[in-house]
Amino acid sequence: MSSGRTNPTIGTRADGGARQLYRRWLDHTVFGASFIGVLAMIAILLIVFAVLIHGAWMALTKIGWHFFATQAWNPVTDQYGVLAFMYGTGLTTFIALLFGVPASIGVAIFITRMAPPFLAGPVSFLIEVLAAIPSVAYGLWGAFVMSPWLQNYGENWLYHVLRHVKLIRVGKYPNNHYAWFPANLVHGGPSGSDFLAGGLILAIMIVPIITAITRDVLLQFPTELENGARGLGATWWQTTRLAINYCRIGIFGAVILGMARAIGETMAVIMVIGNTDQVRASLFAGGQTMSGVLANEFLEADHPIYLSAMFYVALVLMVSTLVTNMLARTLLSGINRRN
Amino acid sequence: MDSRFAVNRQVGAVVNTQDLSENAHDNHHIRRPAIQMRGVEVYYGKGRAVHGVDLDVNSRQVTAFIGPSGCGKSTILRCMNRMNDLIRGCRVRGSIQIHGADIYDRRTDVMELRKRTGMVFQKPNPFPKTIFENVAYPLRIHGIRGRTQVADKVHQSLRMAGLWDEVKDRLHTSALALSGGQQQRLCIARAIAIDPDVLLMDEPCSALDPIATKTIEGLISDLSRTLTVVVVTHNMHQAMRVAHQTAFFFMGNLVESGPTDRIFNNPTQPQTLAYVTGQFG
Repeated sequence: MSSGRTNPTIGTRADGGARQLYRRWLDHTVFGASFIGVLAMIAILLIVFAVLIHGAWMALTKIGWHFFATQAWNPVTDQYGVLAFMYGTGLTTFIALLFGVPASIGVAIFITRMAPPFLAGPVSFLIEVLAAIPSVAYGLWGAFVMSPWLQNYGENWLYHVLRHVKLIRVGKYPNNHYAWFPANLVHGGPSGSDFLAGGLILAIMIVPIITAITRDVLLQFPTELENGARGLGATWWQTTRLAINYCRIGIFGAVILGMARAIGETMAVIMVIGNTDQVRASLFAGGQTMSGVLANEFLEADHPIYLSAMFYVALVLMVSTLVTNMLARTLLSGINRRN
Repeated sequence: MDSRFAVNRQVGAVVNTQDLSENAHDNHHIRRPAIQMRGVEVYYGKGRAVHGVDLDVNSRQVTAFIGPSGCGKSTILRCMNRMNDLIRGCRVRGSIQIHGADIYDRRTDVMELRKRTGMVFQKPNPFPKTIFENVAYPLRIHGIRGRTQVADKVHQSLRMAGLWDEVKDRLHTSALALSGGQQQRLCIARAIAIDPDVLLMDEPCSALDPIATKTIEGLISDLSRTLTVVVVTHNMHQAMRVAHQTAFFFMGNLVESGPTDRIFNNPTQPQTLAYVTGQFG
């Protein structure tokens, strides 16, 4: 502060208005723009929900809960049920988790606890590259490489391994009484376009996200606990189990995120799943998923109830992914709070 | 490997029976050393952290390792249960024998070695499990499954660690709710639950308040009746209070070792004198 000038009031600058105005304007603009962005996102979510409910209204009122108990999806006879598609989504997701989760956790353990530094980085990077491959490219590979291989080799072998495994299914006698019936886990000729193929392609697609998150949570396992266990004479695997146990909530969250991805994934699945509206215990039966029927038939829905039923499927799909995602967020925030 | 240690343990046991028949503190000179180090050198990558250490650690006594930060005392401690194996680029030369068995021998079972040499760390590191499960963990990983066997051992270890009265009513609550001093005693209970011959303590009190420190020091003295204790400390007064023997390390060298009394009152090396009189460090 030079002594030749009077003291300016604290909080104002001697160089005057223009620059100060600009800086204030910048504050307000960025603040405002961010706020509008947030409002827009919330609005879009609400609008999507509103549109889905509005679109599905006719089906909601006319079909109601029967939608969830009807297996057939036949626009010609105006029969609409989401059961087969929910089953397809559920079964393919289950198969995907069955193969994808152990693989992902194994890779994460390799990256965090086995690989020398010169390997851990590249492997980590390659796994993340898998996430960048477009869904349709997986589908193309599935349809032209995996499905033929399954049809010619994989499923023949699997048939011989699993041919005596029976599940149970609900069936109906001719007198309309329901009962349990045995159902083969593998049945019929291998087609390569079936629940198994849909599940396997999903398994590959969910590995990157589960691996990445599992790796991050395993890295949070404290060195003190690692040393504590090793100092007591724990083997590598015993210590690894301790680490997995320590990180179990985070790993569970990772699995849920992978599950959400599997539920919503569309393109690759419809290219290998066979696109049939049926509930079958056999892994070799063709099926369809909720997202699959939407992608396949959105151009064909030419009368109001058909279109409305499509919206109904979309609503069911959105709610199920939303619920799994919210579950994952809650679990992950839980582990963050603990650390 | 099991039998190898078992045999050596018996040899130690025979010697120790003799010790117990006389005054244990006065005749340490006739003991067989529990740990013998000859020409031990430790390298981290290309740098040498420890230069040719020759040291005997007496059985059933407390030996303190003192010296300024970075002098190699913790590194030496971590050689004794081969925790240095876990550090990439760490190599150990020379020979270390515990009860006559060369622990860096190719055939040594490292897990069995660590079972025989418990370790307590600077920062209390209980597992995020219950108090009971923390002490039961080493038993379980070494294959002890019987319910009563595990429970008896857990209770006994907690008593030995002086923690029993404080936690007996909440054995099945989280260990993380204990105070720092209690957590450290829990870690000691965990380390002694599998009956080690040797207890290695790496600055066990440096994260604790004076009262908790006093408790742990009393515990160290008690434990040394049945165990060989090696304690790394930066606190010279602690060494004076608890240790029968003291070894002074400086810049990766063992400068001097001997009875604690002599090291502090009548050291032969000028560096030791300078350190124990507080001229550096």
